[in-house]
Amino acid sequence: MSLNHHADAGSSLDRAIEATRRLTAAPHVPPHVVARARNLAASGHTVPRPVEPAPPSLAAPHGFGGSRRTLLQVALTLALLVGVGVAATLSGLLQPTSAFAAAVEQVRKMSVVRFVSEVNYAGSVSRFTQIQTAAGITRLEMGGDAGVALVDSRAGTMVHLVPAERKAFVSQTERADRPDQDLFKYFEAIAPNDGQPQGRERVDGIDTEVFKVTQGGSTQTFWINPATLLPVRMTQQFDMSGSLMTITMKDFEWDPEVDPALLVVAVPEGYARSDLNPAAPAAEKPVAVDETAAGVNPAAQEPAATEPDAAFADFFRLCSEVDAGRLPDDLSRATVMAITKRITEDPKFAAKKHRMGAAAGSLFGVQIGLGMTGEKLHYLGKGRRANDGKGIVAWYTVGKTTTAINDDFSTRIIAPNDVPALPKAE
Amino acid sequence: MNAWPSIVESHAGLVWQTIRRLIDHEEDAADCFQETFAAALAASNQQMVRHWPAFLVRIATNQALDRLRSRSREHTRVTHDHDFGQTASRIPEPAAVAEERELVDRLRHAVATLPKDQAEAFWLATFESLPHAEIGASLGITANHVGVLLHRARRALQSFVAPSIRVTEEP
Repeated sequence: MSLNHHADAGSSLDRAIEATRRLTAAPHVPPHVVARARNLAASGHTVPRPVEPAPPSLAAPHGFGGSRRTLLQVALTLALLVGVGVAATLSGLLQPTSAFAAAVEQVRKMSVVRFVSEVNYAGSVSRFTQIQTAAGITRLEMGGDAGVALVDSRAGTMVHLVPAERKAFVSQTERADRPDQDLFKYFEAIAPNDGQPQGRERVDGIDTEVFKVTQGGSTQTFWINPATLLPVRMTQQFDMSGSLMTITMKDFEWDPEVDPALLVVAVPEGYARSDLNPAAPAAEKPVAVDETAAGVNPAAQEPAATEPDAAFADFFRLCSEVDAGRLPDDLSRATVMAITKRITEDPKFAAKKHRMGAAAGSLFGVQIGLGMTGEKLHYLGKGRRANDGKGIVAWYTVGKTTTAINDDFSTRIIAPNDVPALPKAE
Repeated sequence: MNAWPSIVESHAGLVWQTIRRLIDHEEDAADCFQETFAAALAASNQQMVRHWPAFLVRIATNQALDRLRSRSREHTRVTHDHDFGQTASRIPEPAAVAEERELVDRLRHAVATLPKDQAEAFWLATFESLPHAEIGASLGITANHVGVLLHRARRALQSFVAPSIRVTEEP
């Protein structure tokens, strides 16, 4: 008699697994077993809903086309829509879900949607009415004298109308030939299997099915009407610089009748036109800084940053313009709002008011987009002035792309290794 | 609409296979089969089922593991009545096959002793080849967490399945 010790634990487990695979090959299902299961529905169980098979492997590009860069662009573009109050129209930022796949399919069949979006941030609530079309047109009614923003996301054009002043502010946004800039494109890109069922909840008098998606730094919740298979409400929550921002989309009207005149993205007759985009693109402006000291590789010929990046940089330019060349000490909400308030309330800055709206909106957009992707906006402007020759003022990285804003407010993409050392606080 | 019979017919083989991997005893497996489809029918009234095969495999695995764990707790049937492997009642087999059957039984028994989430993650990943993300969706956890569960499960199973001490007669 002898003892054989199979001491190789991993090997024994693998052998057991392999043996299980081989020795438990499917036997024939006894017909009476199948028959019993077939009769379940007839014996008091409810019949299931229609089946829409979809291989799990199809699961999901992650929202907004799956690109971190795109996420940022979405946040940025949508934030630009709103301007000052609080980077408002972020309502389009909601992210996808899954078992509500039927709702995704339903939304994809729609061509127009009207809804209300509410942005709750740091105790203040901003409310907007939006109309979006599957053709990429968005109408954002901001209420009061803030006017209306019209966006053609495919052409990359935004027109902000201020009826009280008969003014139209025109800007270029990121083109939206990707599934990221509007609700419809967003639902086209949705990952149907990402949603986690959360049970049922009565919302607006409707017994809805609730789904949740957690992605990046944000959580999205969807309330789906099981009768229409369309969203009744959506929310997105994310941490923005330590404060929780909640965006709620509600009061949906799917495929309502809409006057086409409301969706024309153009400057109406009788309106004075102003172009908001910075006059000089980054690539055309020499960078008058000590690049070596700033840690920037002067030999590198990086591509120019995108227009939204330039609009973001305009925030710093505006801050310096209203504060005798000084840059803000930090980019906290309190600081930004204080600067914004000053510009909007001081008559001598009246001409900069709408520009500041877009610029502050772009700043929030960048912060939100980075927050959603777990990245951070780095700022080196404390105690500095415009054109002080010290180089980079701020930078952020999305994916493999690092965008820097220089002290002359030019923007460019730099190599990740070329960013300046972080301040100790970071 | 009455798609249920066709759903059962289409997936009966898959469900049966899933259950029989875990449960050797035919009557137990048949009960588990009914419980699986009953649970699937009930669940499908609460949520839209996008992919019936994966949906049923997850339920079947869950049901079979529950039954396995229940039997494991009863203990006597597991260890003495050979409810899983029925090795004692089988017709004589070559020694190597018998040894493998014993391994299979031991693995089933070991899986039944694991925490439920580990057991389910291990079985779905190892025998049903479900991706971590899908298992995570089923368990309500992240794919990374599934990886952690699998690691723990394998570690626990290794200590359970081995070292095995086999006593053999020398000629």
